[in-house]
Amino acid sequence: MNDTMHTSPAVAAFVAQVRARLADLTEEEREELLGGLEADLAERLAEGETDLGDPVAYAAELRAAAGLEARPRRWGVRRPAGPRRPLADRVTELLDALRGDWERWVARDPRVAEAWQVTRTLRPAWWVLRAWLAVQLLDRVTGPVEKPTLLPSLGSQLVSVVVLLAAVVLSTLLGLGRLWPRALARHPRPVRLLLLGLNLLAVVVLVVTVQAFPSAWESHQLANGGYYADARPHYGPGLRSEDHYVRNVFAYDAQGNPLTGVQLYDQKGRPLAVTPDPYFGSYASTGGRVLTYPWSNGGQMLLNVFPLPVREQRGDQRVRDPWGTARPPVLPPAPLAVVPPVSLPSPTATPSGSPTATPTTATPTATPSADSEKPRSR
Amino acid sequence: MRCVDTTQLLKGVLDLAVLAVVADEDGYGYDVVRRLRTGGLQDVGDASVYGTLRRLYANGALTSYVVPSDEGPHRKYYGITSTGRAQLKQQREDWTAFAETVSTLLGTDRPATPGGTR
Repeated sequence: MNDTMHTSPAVAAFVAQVRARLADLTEEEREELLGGLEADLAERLAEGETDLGDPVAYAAELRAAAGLEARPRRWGVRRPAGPRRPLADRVTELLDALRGDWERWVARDPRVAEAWQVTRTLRPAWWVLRAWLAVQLLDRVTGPVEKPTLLPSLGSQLVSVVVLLAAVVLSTLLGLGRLWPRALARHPRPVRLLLLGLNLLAVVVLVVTVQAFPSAWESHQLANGGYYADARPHYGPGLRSEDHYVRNVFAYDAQGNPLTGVQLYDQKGRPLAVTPDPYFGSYASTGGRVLTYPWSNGGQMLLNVFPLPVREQRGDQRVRDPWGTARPPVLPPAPLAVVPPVSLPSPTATPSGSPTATPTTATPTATPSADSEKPRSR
Repeated sequence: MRCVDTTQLLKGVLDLAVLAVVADEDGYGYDVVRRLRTGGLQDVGDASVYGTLRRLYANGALTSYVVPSDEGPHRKYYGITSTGRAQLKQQREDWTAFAETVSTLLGTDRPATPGGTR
């Protein structure tokens, strides 16, 4: 195939635009008007003309001179008499006709036309948005269900940034018609339908994504790792500190060494657990989530044993059998490797350290330092 | 001449001009446009000429045939029919008579007009 002699994309686009404005004519009339147009336009370009002009004005002039002025009619295709044409042709005609109807409807009122002009200039924004939506879709398809985030969490932040940028470039090229101009000239119909389908899909994904997006309230909670006081009843019991739930607990023994498998109970023997809501995952630096997993006593899952093992993952739901996966949960390192050893305040403690002093005779109130260490009773 | 809307004048005579050009020699759309422009009708629009060709064809004044091209899209040539020739002859006479009338009108008017207007 001799590509250099093929119709240039500019000519093909111009002819397509003119064709759209002749949509209400019969196939015969239209072909009569458009026959040879490509060759003539190509010749004009070959003669050094750079601008083919406005296809809308062109089509209007063509119709006026041909005595085929726009006729008032209902929307859609004016069904020409004659044999039934292939479905594909009729689809193309319907698209052209709808486009033509739209253009005419817009052109009727100068204010609407102006608004449409402004809207058209915003197309690049849509190209970026649909690219983002495509990456969101990819994220949802490839990973477990999770709340969408502004930067889709495709494994790692770097990957998602690169994928997002690539998608934006691709979408923009498509929008500018740079990506498939040759294919468009050769197979206008399938490419056109494909583009239409992709855009419709993007709209659907947009609706779904917007609904799934965490509300400002949820985002706030996620960022803070807890609910405020008035939201407490929603998730039942759980260790709380100040106004938010505690995610994990690290216990140290009297010598100051971290402990593992500490079981906590309150004064009545009820387990002191963190909230059972797995949604209290924090964000990992890689963009994933860090979720806590319960201990087990053989039959029950226990959330009152600490520290709770954690697992970094993409989704915000606990995995059913995390210990069987390639990346089982791990015990998180203690925030402090060791803490100072402690002991009960000794009633014998005296500042002088006199060996002769006996506990019974000592006066605790005389030593302010010992006083400050005493457990306060209220 | 610039003060007059030449496109309006052109509309009235475009049929005649196109018929005359095609009668001279068969041609495709842009070829006809070029010959009209070379002939002095610089303001003639492509689309107007194409539309006119199409209308004349639909009315039977022109015939058309496609010439395949090795180099790209095919070209659609127009040729004149006997109906077209008759129409050309008729319109040419009409035009000549009309032009003479207008010229005479303008010619007789001119001396009466004060020379200082331009």
